Amino acid sequence: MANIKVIDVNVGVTAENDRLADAIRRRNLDNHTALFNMMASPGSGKTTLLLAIAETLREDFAIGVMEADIEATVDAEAMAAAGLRTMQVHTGGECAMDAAMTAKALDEFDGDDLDIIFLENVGNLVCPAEQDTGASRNVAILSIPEGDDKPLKYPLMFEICDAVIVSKIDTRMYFDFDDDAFRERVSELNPDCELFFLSAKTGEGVDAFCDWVKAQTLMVKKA
Amino acid sequence: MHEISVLKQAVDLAEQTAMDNGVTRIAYITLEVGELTGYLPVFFHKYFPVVTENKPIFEGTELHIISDAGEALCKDCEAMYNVMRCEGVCPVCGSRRKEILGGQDFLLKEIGICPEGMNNE
Repeated sequence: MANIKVIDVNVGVTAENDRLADAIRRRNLDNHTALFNMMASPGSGKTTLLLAIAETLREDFAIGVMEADIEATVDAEAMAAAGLRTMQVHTGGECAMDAAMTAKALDEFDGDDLDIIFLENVGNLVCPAEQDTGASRNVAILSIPEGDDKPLKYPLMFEICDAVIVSKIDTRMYFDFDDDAFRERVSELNPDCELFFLSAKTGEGVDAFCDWVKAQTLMVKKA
Repeated sequence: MHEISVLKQAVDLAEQTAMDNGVTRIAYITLEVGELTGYLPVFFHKYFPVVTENKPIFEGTELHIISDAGEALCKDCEAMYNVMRCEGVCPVCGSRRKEILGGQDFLLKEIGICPEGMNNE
């Protein structure tokens, strides 16, 4: 072992991914496209919520949806049936999208003329938070049944988000979700994060989130 | 399972760095894993043979892992504590408000090369 030479590397393993992610952000700024990375657990209502907000936003913006899943095409089929420009990305067993996969998907999507692209990430509160996809904005969705303690268990997800949505508020009566405790836990991790409470099913609170998406999109377009 | 994709990125980075330096065989790589990344070294060891399969440069390569403690400074009483052991709560005053001082990084620290693993020698 005495003969072994050593190369001192000391580089963050995600450095290459971060470089690619920055390149995606630059490209989207040039194209005036806002890319929203939507992250959540399986079953939090990502697809239903996206259908609801796309319905409102499509009057003013050209919208595309990129569906990332380990397998299946059910989400993409639901989006396409609603008349949205859709693309299914299979991550090939990977538990989250990374910047290389997102760049490849953007190339194939040919979505440079779109105003907004929603990336529906793999359902998971851990891995998607670890990989920068190059999104303009990161959004986490947490449904009422999942509980107000999730920021304590998955802190990174709530640290990296620009907005957090609490979905399925129409199910409140069945669960003990403490809004104030949740608000406090999120703001401890991420004081600048915007918080939205909504139900895609009843439509309550959806407009406020759409207004935020609009404002963020216009910000990207003007930059 | 999230270890496998970041381990693959680490292996790719090591492979590229080694090739850039004219290395044909790597004796070992050292990864520094922050305690707060949530990555478990046991899975890195488990997946390493899978991720390096069919890569001759990694034949017989050892995986070394050093851990970086997840330390935090309490924003309310300025006590220093280990975030994992104390489950994110300051053991002195009970506050959750903190500044994380370390343990969030995942680094490729070094690559060890046997002399016979150099192209130019």
